[in-house]
Amino acid sequence: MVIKNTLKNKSKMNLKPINIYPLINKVRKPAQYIGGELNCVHKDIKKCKASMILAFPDLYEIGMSSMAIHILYNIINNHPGFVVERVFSPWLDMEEQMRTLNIPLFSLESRLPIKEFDILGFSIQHELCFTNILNMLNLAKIPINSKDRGEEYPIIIAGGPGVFNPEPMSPFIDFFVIGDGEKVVIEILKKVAKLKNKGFKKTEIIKEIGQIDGIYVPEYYDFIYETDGRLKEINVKNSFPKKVVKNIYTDFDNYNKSMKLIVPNTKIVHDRFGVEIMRGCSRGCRFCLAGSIYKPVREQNTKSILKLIKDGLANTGYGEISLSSLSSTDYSQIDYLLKNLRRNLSDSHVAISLPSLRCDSFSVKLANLIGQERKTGLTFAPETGTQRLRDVINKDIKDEDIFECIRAVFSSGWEKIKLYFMIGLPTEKKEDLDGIVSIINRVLKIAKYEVPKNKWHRVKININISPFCPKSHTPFQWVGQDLPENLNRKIDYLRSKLKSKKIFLKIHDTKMSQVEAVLARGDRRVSKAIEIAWESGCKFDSWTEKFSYDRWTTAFKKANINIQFYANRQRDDDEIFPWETISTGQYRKFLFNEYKKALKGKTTPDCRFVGCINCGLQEIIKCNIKI
Amino acid sequence: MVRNINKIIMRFRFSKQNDIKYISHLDLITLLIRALRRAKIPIHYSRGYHPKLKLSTAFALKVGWESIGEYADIVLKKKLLPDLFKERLNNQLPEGVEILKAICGSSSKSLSNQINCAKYQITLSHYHKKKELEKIKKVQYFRERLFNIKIRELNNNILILNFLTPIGSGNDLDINDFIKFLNSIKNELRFILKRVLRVNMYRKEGDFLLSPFSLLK
Repeated sequence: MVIKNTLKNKSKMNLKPINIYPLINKVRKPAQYIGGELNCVHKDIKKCKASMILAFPDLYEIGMSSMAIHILYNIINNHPGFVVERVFSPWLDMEEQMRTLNIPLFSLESRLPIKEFDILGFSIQHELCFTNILNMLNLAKIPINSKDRGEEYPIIIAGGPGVFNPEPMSPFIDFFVIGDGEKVVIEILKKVAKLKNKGFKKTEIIKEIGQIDGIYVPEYYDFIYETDGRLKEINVKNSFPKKVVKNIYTDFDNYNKSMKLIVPNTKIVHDRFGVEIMRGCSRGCRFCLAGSIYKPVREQNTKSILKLIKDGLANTGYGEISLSSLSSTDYSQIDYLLKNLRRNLSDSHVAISLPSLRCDSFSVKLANLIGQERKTGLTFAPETGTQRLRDVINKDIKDEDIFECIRAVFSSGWEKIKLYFMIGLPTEKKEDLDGIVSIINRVLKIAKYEVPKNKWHRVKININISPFCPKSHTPFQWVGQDLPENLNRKIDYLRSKLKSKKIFLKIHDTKMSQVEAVLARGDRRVSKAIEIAWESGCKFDSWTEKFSYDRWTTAFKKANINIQFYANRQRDDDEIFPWETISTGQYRKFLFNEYKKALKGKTTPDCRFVGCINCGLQEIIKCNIKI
Repeated sequence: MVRNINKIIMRFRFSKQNDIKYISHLDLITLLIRALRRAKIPIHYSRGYHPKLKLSTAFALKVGWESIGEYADIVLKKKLLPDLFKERLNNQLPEGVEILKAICGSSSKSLSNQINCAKYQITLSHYHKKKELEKIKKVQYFRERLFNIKIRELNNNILILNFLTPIGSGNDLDINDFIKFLNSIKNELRFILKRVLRVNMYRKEGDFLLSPFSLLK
């Protein structure tokens, strides 16, 4: 093996930290760029066998609120031979300074150009951060297209919920990590360290890593299209798997022992000690991507959660903890856990918060038990206005649950409430919109009855309305999204009916949702539009004030992408999807059956209560559900 | 307003330097609170449904400015040796924030009611001779707001200004305005602000400067 043209040999390089001070004296919120937070890790890159940079394609305040960053950061840095550092999207003022002074994107810890790391890994949470990824690569002076990147550049990888349909980003990313990253990230680093040492070329290293479970190397898959634009077939090269099955991590207790959360020096969105008490959700809501990709339910041991919190509070000093999961009240030991926490924390004045509360009175009882913050109020998601449509989406809540829940909320002394609804769901009719109105009016009535007169002025009912956006790997992956003009008409209708001064409507941009829908179920051809959109200035697309529909539509046009073909078209029953190369473990026939049941308004119960519903997961993992 | 009479107060002076100077005043308070918790300092919490601790600071320092003269009061549950407080807290603080001194006592007035004067050291670069700068002292704007001005000139056209200025009186000096003002007195004078360091804060009574520590009972 020839030892040249390989990934850089760090020990021979002169790695000099970037002087960031000329930049940050001129930007808003400079604290997000300085690093050096409590519990962050500084290692000498030159002395490590392999180095990685974790990149989050949004601001520090958002990225640092993501558990994924903290988990991977701990796992990798706890490994003696490896180092991981962090980088986030700089805000526009910082970007301007960097471009003016010709300073490349740098890591928070060592302030080294991110180009100097062996692996650059993006955490992709959703589709609207795609342009930020290209922007970060460009700011790092790294060519955005994989084919243009020589040996001197890092291996660019991506993981997270946003890569379950990797195709739209496939020309930019060397390989995707599908599913839980805890275990596989170490395997990847080990391979890189070993092969780099042996003098392997980058392409050879990528090919080798492609043999690891749950790794999707887009280069080895060819997509052939019909003349009408639909996918005809997917050809797999060499011995690569026809379907890359997601990784499922089960050994939570293992890394929890040494988990140390980084404590930011500046305010972030979720500024508290987050503990993941459970991963996955078996409720089976048919629109929900998270429900599909994080299956099966894996609960953390209560004892280990309590220990994690005790140690975590001692080494962070946080005054609030958050018990997070997709549906925290479904944690089987929730009552026991909360009572214990209450007792353990009684004299340390630590607040407990439970996000993602189910819309029922049991949740309110739990919120009462922990004395959840009154000021912010509670949040619930009834999703639809009628029982019929709730059956369609398989959301297992009855109208009575909602009203019982609301009554409990206001009678326990809360004055604020936030409710989430979706519009544009399959089979939606006018009655369903009227149903939303009548639920909200009923909520208002209950509040009037339960809240004492002298506190009435504080009552606030926040209503969030979002257009339904069909996602891959869900039973609704066949569904065409409602057109923005229809959605806007529905929104106008709801607005006209909801006039009370106590109701505060917040409506998600329907055009943004349409772009999201194109990207969510896009194929490899859509990547061209992403590139053009970014070139034309699109970034921070999930930020309402930065989103530009015009730029996106122009980009789609230039790339020959028909928006409606991707977003609004009803897919054929047997159509091949671009994400067919990826498997969440669920059978396609299970998803299809769920879809057909949905159209008939038939529900499917939670498998934890009725036993296995044969979704397919049992083939790849034991999920402790009776067959 | 909750009065602090009879409450055990730990008053401490601390620094805010290096990278930490880039965090906001609110972030600094959060940072101190988390450090106090990690150091297991016996903090007093208010009673009620959502207990709150009481940490009050004097006057906020602008993001990017440095200080070796910040003050804060924290109400404690029980008495603690100031040196122990200092040591335990310093073990938990990041580089750039350091407790320089602590005194335990009580006070009926808050720090911002007691402190009325701050001492700054600002570093300017300029392209002129020192005697030109002596003119600063003669401008009325500064005569009203600046006291005890001392000007020191280093090599390379760097100028160090030490002065006292009222704080919290409504007649405060805005240092950025000050620089703009300097640059407008004579068009050919050009100053660039390099660094602001708050050296200390006091209660000024007549000609006397009292340390905030001496105001504790």
